Parts: sequence; structure tokens; C-alpha cells
Amino acid sequence: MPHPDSRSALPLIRWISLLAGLGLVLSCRPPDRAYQLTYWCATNPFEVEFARQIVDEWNADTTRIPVIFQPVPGGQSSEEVIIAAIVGKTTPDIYSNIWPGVIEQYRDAGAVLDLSQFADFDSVLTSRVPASLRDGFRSPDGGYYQMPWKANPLMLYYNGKLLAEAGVDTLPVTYADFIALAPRLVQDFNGDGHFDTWMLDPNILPKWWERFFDFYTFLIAATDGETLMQDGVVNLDRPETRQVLNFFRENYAAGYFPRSLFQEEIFLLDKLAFKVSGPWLMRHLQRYRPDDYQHYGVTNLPRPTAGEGPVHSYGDPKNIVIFSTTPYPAEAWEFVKFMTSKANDRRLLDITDQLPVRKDLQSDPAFSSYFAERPIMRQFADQLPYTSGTDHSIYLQEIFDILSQEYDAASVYAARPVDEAVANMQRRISKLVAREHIRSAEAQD
Amino acid sequence: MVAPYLVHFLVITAFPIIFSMVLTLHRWNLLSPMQWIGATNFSTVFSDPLFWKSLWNTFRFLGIHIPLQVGSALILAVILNQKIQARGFFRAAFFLPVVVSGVVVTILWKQLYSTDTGLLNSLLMSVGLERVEWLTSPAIAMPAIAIMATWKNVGLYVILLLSGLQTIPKQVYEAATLDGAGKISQFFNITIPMLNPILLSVIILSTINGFSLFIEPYVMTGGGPLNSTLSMNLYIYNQGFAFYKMGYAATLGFVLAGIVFAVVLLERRYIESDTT
Amino acid sequence: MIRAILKGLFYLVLAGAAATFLYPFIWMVLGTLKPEVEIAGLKLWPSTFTLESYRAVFSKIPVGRAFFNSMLVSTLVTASVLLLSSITGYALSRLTFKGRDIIFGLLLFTMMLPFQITLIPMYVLMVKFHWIDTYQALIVPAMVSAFAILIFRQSFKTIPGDLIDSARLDGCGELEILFRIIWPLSKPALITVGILTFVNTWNDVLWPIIVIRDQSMMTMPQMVALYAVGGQAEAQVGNILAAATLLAVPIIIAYLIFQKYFIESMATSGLKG
Repeated sequence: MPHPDSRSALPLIRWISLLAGLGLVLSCRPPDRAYQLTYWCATNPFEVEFARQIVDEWNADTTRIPVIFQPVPGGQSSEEVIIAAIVGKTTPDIYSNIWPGVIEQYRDAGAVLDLSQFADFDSVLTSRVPASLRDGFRSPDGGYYQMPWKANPLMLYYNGKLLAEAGVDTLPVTYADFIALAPRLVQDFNGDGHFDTWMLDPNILPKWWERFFDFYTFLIAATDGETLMQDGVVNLDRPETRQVLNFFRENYAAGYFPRSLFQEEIFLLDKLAFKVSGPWLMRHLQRYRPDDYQHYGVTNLPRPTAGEGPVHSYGDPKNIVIFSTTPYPAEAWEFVKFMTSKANDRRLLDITDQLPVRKDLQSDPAFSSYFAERPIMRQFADQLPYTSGTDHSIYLQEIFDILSQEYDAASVYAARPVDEAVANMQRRISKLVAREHIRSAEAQD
Repeated sequence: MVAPYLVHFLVITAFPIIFSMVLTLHRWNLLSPMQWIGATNFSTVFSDPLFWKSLWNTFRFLGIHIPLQVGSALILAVILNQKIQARGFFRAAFFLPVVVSGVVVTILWKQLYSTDTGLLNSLLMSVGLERVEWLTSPAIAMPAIAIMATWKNVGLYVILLLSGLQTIPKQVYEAATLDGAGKISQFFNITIPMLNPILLSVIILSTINGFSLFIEPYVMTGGGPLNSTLSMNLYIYNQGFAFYKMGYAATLGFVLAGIVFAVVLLERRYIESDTT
Repeated sequence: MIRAILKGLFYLVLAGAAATFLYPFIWMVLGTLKPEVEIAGLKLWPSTFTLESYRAVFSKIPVGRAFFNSMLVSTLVTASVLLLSSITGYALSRLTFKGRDIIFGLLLFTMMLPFQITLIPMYVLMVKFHWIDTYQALIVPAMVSAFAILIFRQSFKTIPGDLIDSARLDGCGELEILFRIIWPLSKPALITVGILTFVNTWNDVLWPIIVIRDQSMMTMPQMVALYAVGGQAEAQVGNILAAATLLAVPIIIAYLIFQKYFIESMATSGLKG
């Protein structure tokens, strides 16, 4: 039998192909190559406001290339959005707020520009970034694929009200101090045998990025600023790793850290004595505790032993990249320099309470009135030169996933001996790093 | 007239399957070019402890969830099949969680399960019992998720079984009563065998749905504690969309598909041979 | 006597079960109306009613926009599935043509296939089409449903052939037959497929999480899920519960109105295994 339906189905097929074609045409139209730059900023309202102000000011001078901006179109992880954009070749020209941990992946894919190709990059870099931090931004191939921009050094916040009520007048410096304070600060109000206030609330979800705010930053403090690798060799099999894991293990075992998931912020509810966070938390505290936020204070992270010299911590740096899809690299670089000018760094402080990575932050009069008004921010600025970022690896997420798994087992649940966890970390991460070496050797052939 | 379906099938089903097969033989992070690695992904699967862990977790979930779900659905359906006042109300109440989004259910239960501030522990402690670390104890987290999943879905299975029960002719029971069979023996000798085809559907459906466990651990536990709620789907999602190991994630997808297929076949064979 | 006890026991079990299913929802809705500090307590009734939680949700996430997106996507998908799947179902049940059995086989195969296999390639496909953050990504992959085709095929088979033959003699085209004659006779199947497709599309969260990043394109479940697990709720439980309530209420209202159809169609869907 012939196809009895072919005639009547024809319009339908036409309709569908038209629809599909329309969709393709609409969504596949060639990228707009007009003489302008697209800039994506972070989604938080303070940074959007910052972007709006600098873009308006830039565009006011009509001799410059016009810039349009939008918050990075992501509700969840901005990294995922950028990856999709790279795959679909829909990257903007400039993106701020990039986490340096993913730079190697983007470099490997040829998606970001080496900024050292610009003649004045070296002088810009050396005049801005403290010498101690510069190496952290250089990729293993010697290039700079990111403009160092801002940081949120992690420090230990304390709830002064709880401390005063418990009669505590010295802040903990060592792990022993911290644990000795615990019995005075944790309380069981309802007599059920479980504490209702705690010392610290590291997030117990096994998500790799949560480790920046507990295990990793404590490790940086314990090693006086060393990251996971030295000269490309994994260096985790060391006493400091054990001390950090044991510290968390002891606190979880004693119930000083809650093995619980909270949907509410317990630091605001006076249920928590300490919290690890960056400078931006202060604004949040001010907003929800407008009458008595002054009792909250900030101190250094505790270390295994008192130690000499400054206490280091994770800097949580966020930087600026120029994507290689841009037709106007030189203009984009001009805009990046404009973004990081002294006036705009001051603007960044005022609007976001995040710290520009620059060495004259506390000496230059352009910033002094800010710190005079917010003395607590001075402590974060003092911390800034003593911060570390992350190592350079295309497998960084997986590396932190391994840390997270082992930390979870050894410290949170005490289900694995600390020595075994350390050995696992060392072995498994070394394996990944070796794979990366093989990969880059192959790429060079 | 089948053209729309065929076009859709080719683009949305056939192409992805073939692409997926190709992916299983490659290493690919979306960004850099695909790298041919032969069957390495498959051998990696079998030596990957987290794969085995997630497989075990998924079976553990099924092992708790299916008996609990089928058992409680059977009890509720048998009771509803009696002469009951307000049957419509009960039926509607049991069915309510089925229509509500899984996101609502997980948010709600995360709060109910919270160790320190949750409603369930408050209830337990108000009657003098010890609290339970619902989502933060490696032994209890998966059973807790299974209980929640049962709560969410059981209404559907009550309805299914109820419609099966209503197809059993009354005369069969009457004859049995004349033969002197008690209620309990009637249940096992008449009700269960007569329900067999629909029980099979219920079990297979629960199995297939159970294997797709994802949003519950994703929202509630992130796979923890100690990977005890890392389901196969969550593991695939993590490999693909957190670490961008597309080839490996596709391989895991195929392995999971094979396992689901095998389990469903086994169930079918076992239950059908049981009837004859 | 025993009968009465048994009867009492039955009602006890039913009442207990009903309470188990309903109480959490009641607790959730009342929780959204409580001041933040009272939510964790055992007391069900708020001491004072406040709409603060809803105000906060509406000020932080574009709920209206997400509701519109969900409505639009669910409606278009449902319309498309009804249209395209019934056409295919009609062809498979009432027409004979080369390859029909093969197509039917493909259909069954598609239904058995776990979505894990196609998930990643589908994502890549969406990226290549530049459909990330577009309605196309949410709608096009769902436009035809193998399960719906199967239900239509089953249902259309029961329609007497005479009706169709006489319509053909009257010069009706096949599509005319389908929409003029078959559809009016297949209301239960249409309702079943319609409700199922709408509810499943409305509640789906995995696929939107993967293909939508732009907040203005998000559907309700995705936005609520990200709001609750992401940082935007600023750890205020009342806000999280309010967002969840806003997500649940439209479906619950639809359910209360069309309860009978909901239960029947969901029960039909269960039999596909």
C-alpha cells in the first residue's frame, strides 16, 4: 500500500522543519562583531553595581571602544557557564571573577589570552601586585593568563558576645588554645546530651570547593603559606597535614563542631563562637544584626603551634581574563587596566568590601579613609600579603575532590586513620599530577 | 505521519546514543580535542572503588525502598478495598506527595531530618527517645532517603494495587469462604496470586524509578556522609558535570543501563516463574 | 466484635497514614507564615502571622518570571506531545505502511533506554545548537514522547474501523479523521497524556539544571532548588520553605480541581513497566 498519509502530512513536516530551521537561525546567528567589547561580571548585586559604575564611566568617553556588560548568566556555578560558553564559542571578551584554579583548563583549551604579550603588562603587574604573590599567578608555561584583581582572605571571625558571656578574654592562637576554650563556649541548653552551641561549623557536605574554607585554609596556615605542591611535586605527606586532620577530627569527635546540616546561618543566631570567612561577611552581619554587630571581631586562624611570623591563609583570589575569541585584544587590555586603576580599586572597596590585590593598599592615601572608617577591614588588608592561592593543574577540581573525600573520612567521621588518609591523598594526587605531566609531554611532541 | 516522531527520534535519541558510544572510547573534557583511549574507560569502571560504592548504595536503596514501598502500598490498598467511609479523601491524601515536585519534598524533608533543629528529632526527644542523625550518619542516611522516597511515591502504588484488587471477582472469595478458607489464607492463596501481574508492574516500576535516584541525594546530602548516599546517577552527574570527564560519564551511563536491564529481566523471570 | 475491632484498626491505620502524608505539608505552609525563630519549634500554629518570608523570596528571585517560564514550557510541551504523539499513534494503529513494525520496535526500545545514556550527548547537542539558555533546549527534546504514542496507539485501536473507513469515503484527509473523529472519541487518553506530560514537565529539574544558567530563563523547580541549596536564601529557613510552597501550590491546586483525572492518569502511567 502506498503511503496514504504522505499528502496530508506534508504541511506538518514543513511546519516542523520551518520551526526547527527558525530555531537554528535565531540561535546560530553569527556572533555580533560590532566595534564593542562584552564584559561579564559576577552575579552578586554589589559586583553588578561596581560593573555598572565603571562601564558607565568608561563609555562616557566616546573616543573609547564601547563596552556592554552583563552578570555572568549563571545561577549556580559560573565555571560551568564559562565552559559551556567556550565550547559554544560564545565567550565574552572580558570576564572578571574567574577562580584561578580553572585557568589551566582554559589555557589548555586555548581559550584565554596570555596577557604578557602586551608590552606594558610587566610594569603594570610589578607596580600593582606584591612580589610575594606574583608567582602564584604565573602559569607553568611562563605566561600570565589572568590579571590579578581581588581577594577575600579567610580569617577567623568570633562572636564577642558569646566569648564575653563565657568570660573568655584571650583569643586562641594554637590548636591547643582553641580546644581548651571549647568546653567553656559550647553549651547543652536542653540537657539532651548534645551541644546546642558550637565552636565552628565547617560545611560537612563532601563538595570539593567547601574544603577551601576548612581543611585547605588551615593547611596553608599550618605550613606558613605552602600549597599542595612544591616544584610540581605533591607535598602532603608531612606532619602539618596530620595535625590539621587531627585537629578537625578531635573537634568533631568531641562534638565541638556540629556534624549537622543547617539551612539557617547559626553564626547570626549566637549558636556559634567562631566562623571562617572573608571580609564580605561583615556586611552581612551588619545587615542582620544592625544593633549589636560591633561585638563580632576577626583574628588569625589557629596554628598547630604558636610559631614565628605572620599567620597565612587562603586568599580566595578572583581575577580577570581576556578570552581569545576577542577581535580587539588591545582595546580589551586597555579596559582591564582601567578596571584595575587606583580609583576603581577604591570603588571596589567601597561597593563590595573585597580587597584589590595591590601592594599599596595600606600606604596609599587613596585608600586610607576607607580603612579609617572600617578598622576591621584593615585586619584583612594585613592578611592579604600572607595569602596563598591554589596550585596550577588542569585536574584541580579532582584534586580537591580527593582532599574532600579523605578529610571527610579521617576528620569528620573518624572512619579512617589520619595516617592512612594522608597516604591516600599523597598517592592519589601524585597519580593525577603524573598523568598531567605525561599529557603535557605528549602535547609538546 | 510518523515523520515528526522519526525526526525527533533521529536527533534526540539515535544521535545521542551513537555519540555516547563514541564517547565511551575517548577521553574528553569538552574543551580540548577528544582523545582516543580504546576500552580504557571500561576497565577503569571496574577498578573504580567509587563506582562499586555507588552501585552498592543504589542496590542498598532499592533493597530498602522496594519492600517498604510495595509492602505499605499493599497494606493500604487492601484496607482501602474494604467498605471504608471517606475512601476518596484517603486516596487523595495518599496521592498528594506523588504530584508534588521532588524539589519540594527534598527541601521539606531536609528540614524534618535536621539533626539539631529538625521536627523529627524534636518529636523523638519530646517523648524521651534518643535523637537520630538522619542525614549525617553513614549507616542511616540512605535508609532515611529511602523512607522519604517511599513517602513520596507510595500513593501511586496504592492506586495501582487498588485498581488491581478491584478486578478480582467477588465470587472467588465467596467460593473460598464456602470451602472454609480464613481471611488470611484467602489473602495469600487468592489475593496475592491474582495480583501477580500488577505486582510485577509495581516492582519493575519501582526498580526503574529507584535506579534513577538523583535529586534527593543531590539536594540533601551531596552524596555524603562518607559517600553512603552517592547513587549511580549522582556519580555520573559528578563525573560529567563537575569534573567534565565526558567519556567516563558516558561509559558509566552504559554500564548502568546494562545493570538496570539485567535486573528488570531477572525480576520478570523470577516473578513470572513464581506464578506458574 | 472482632469485625468491629478490625474495622477500628483499619481506620487507625488509614488516619495515621493520612496524617503522615498531610502533616508535613501543613507544617511547611504554616512554617512560611511564622517568624523565623519559631520554625524549628514543635508548635504548629504561628504566634503571629507574617508574610515576611514571601516578601523576601519575591525580592530575591524572579518568581513571576520562573512561573511564566514553567507555564510556557509545560504548556507548549503538552500541546506538542498531544499533537505529534497522537499523529504517530494514529499512524501506528490505523495505517499500514512499510517499516511500521520497525518503528514500533524503535518506540519500545526508546522507552527502555535510561536517560543517563543520552544525557551528556544531549547536553553537547544543545551546546552545539547554541540552545543553552533558550526555550528550545527545554521544549524541543520533549516534543514527542514514546510513552504517549504508545497510549494513543492503544486507545485508537479500540475505535471501530467502520467510522474511519466511512470518513475516508467522504473524502476526509488522514489528519482530518484524526482530529474530527478520533480525538473526540479518545478523551480519556488525551486527558491522561495531557496531565502526565504537564506534571512531569512542570516538575522536571535535572534537565533544566543542565541546560539553563540564565536566571531569567529558569523554571520554577530549578530556581527553587538553586535558591534553597545556593546562597541566595541567606540561610533563612522561612524563605526556603516559602519558595518551596510557591513551587508546590500551583500543582496542588490543579490536583484538587482535577483530582479524579490526576489519579486515573497517573495510575495508567504506572502500568507501562
